[in-house]
Formats: sequence, structure tokens, C-alpha cells
Amino acid sequence: MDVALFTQEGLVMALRWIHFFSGIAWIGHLYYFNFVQGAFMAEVDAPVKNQAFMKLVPKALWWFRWGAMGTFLSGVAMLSIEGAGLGADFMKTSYGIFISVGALLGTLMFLNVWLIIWPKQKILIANATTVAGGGAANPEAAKVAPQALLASRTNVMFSIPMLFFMGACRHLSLNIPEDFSPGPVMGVTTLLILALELNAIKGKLGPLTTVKGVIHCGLGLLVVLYGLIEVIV
Amino acid sequence: MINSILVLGTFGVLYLFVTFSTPVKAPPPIRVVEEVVETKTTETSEVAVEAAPAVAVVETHPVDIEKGKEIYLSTCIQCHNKDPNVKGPIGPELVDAPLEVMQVKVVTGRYPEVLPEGFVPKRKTKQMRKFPDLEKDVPSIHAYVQSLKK
Repeated sequence: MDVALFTQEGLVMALRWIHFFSGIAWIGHLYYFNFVQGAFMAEVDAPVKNQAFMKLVPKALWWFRWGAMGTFLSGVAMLSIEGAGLGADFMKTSYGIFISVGALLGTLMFLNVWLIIWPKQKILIANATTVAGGGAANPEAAKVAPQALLASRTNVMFSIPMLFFMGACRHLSLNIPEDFSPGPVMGVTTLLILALELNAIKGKLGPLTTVKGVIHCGLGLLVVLYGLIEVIV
Repeated sequence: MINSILVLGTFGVLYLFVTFSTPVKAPPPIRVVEEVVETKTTETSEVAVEAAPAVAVVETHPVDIEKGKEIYLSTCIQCHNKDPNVKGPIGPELVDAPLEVMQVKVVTGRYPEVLPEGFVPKRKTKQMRKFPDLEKDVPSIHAYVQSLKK
């Protein structure tokens, strides 16, 4: 008996399912943090805020960061299998171009979670626990909170084009010429994305401060990236 | 937590073991029907009719465009474009593919060793999976694709 799931195509499908499940857990919590929790924390009193940091935020952050890990690892595995199959023609397909841009955004988001947001949040959680126990507030906490917020907001902005390109890679066809060279389009889009990532590490919130602003920036980034791809390809 | 990881990990390892230990079946060969004209002798003339040389042709199957459409729109467009005149996200446009190429490509996932004169493959990729179960439906798929040719 041939079981479809026990083939290479089945393996990619199983990885895709893990990618969706962990991706929803990750991005769902990202949107919760940015669209819901931020506004809630701004409205409540300090004791409630400390309680939330001690009891609620760690649980949400667990699903958030391990969701990011599952999404990243399953994505790398899928891309390795599909990319190996396409070989030298990989960057001559719509799939190759869209997934490369989407995967770059997703990878930076994953790194933002594990290298910026989670380390900063650990400091904030430890500070809330200390303050709730009657201890002195850690001055470091006031410094790292805006850094975590900027990385988190950048991830929301990146997520909007990232989701578009993930879907587009198998469901939208570019008219790619036979003599197409991927260098220019990948170079320009990569530079733009890296510049925004640099801002996430060292820059300012600017229009990303508000929920409305970050959604608009995400939509704007989508339009610019897609426009660049269409124009250059 | 540890228990969940152990259970999920065990299932994962079992799944990978079953997937990679399943022997890969060789694709069925393209059936070739040899048209042989039998040598007959007539009693009256007693002159043997010369036998025609054996001609190899791909076995033909009945064409059903509706069935071809059904298969094309449910299976082929995972990689090829819904409009076979243009490129899909992974696979190239299909309107120029001759039936004999499509027949081998669908069943084996590979181009035939000997390509029809003038036909140049659009991709060097080996990404296409094989669909041996669709062997008899390829003429219907081809007919549907041709019906959309602009």
C-alpha cells in the first residue's frame, strides 16, 4: 500500500504542517503582545502590571519563542528539500524569488526573538519579580524595555510582507524572462530589509510607536518590496 | 513537558524511519505497442504480402477533456500556472509540451532520453515528482492544455 505521507512529498507536507502550527503560535503571540498586551499594560496600575509580568508574560513568551524556533527549523528543512530539487533553476522561479525574500524576513524575525526580545524580556520579568517582592527596581529595565519594543514592532512590520511572500511563493506567478539574473532584485530587496533590521537593533521607533503606524509601515514595506520585485524582474 | 517532547520525538523518529525506509518504486516503463502487420499469403496468388516494418508508438488512451481539466486544476497547478500559456510558480508553461514529452514527464518526472526534434526543455530542474497513476490520463491532460492554447 502506498501511503502518500511516507514519501518525500509527504515529508515536506508534514514539515509544512509543523511550520503552520508553530508559525500561528508565534505570530499569534506577536500580534497579541503588540496589539493587545501593550495597550493593557499602559492602562493598569503598577502592582497589576507586575503581576502580569510575573504570571502572564512568561507563559505567553514560552509559546512565542518556541513557536519561532519550530517555525524556523521546519522552514529551513522545507527549503532545503525543495531548493535541492530545483537546483540551479531555483532563482529562476517565482517560488525561488518570493521564498527567498520571505525567508530572509522570517529569519531576521526569528533572530530578533531569540537574540533581542527574549533576553530583554527576561530582564523585565526579573525586575517585576524583584519589585513585587519589595526590592529596588533595576535601572537596566527602563533601558531595555524600549529596545525590546523596537525589535517586536519591527517583527510586526516584517510579518506583513513575510506572510504575503510565503503565500505568494506557491500561489503567484511572476513573468520571469529566460535570461533572468536574480542578482539585482535580491540585492536591492536584501539591502532594504537589512537597513530596517539595522534600525531594529540601533535605531528609533518613529512611526512604529503606534499599532496603526506599525500596520501602515508593514503594508508600505509590502508594496515597496513587491513593487521592486515586479519592476526589476 | 519532558514527556510531551519524548512522545513527539518518538513519533517524529518513527515517521522519518518509515518514510526513508520505504523502498522507492521504479516508475513503470512507458508501454510501447508495436504495430505489426501480419504476413499473410493469399491462396489464389500465392504471393506473400511484404510485411510492414514494426513501428513503435506510444499506446494511446481515450481523450476526455473534462477529466483532463479536473486533473490539471487539482494536481498540475500545484506548480504550473492555471493558465498553461504562462509560467507557474515552479513549473514552466505547458502549451508547447508535445504529448510524448508530457507522457514521460508525468509518469517518471524526467524528460525522455530522446527529445522530439525542435523541442527544448524549459527547465533543467529535477523538482517534478512522478505521477505513475496518471499514465492513462496524460492524453486528456494534454488535450485540455491544448484547448487553452492562445
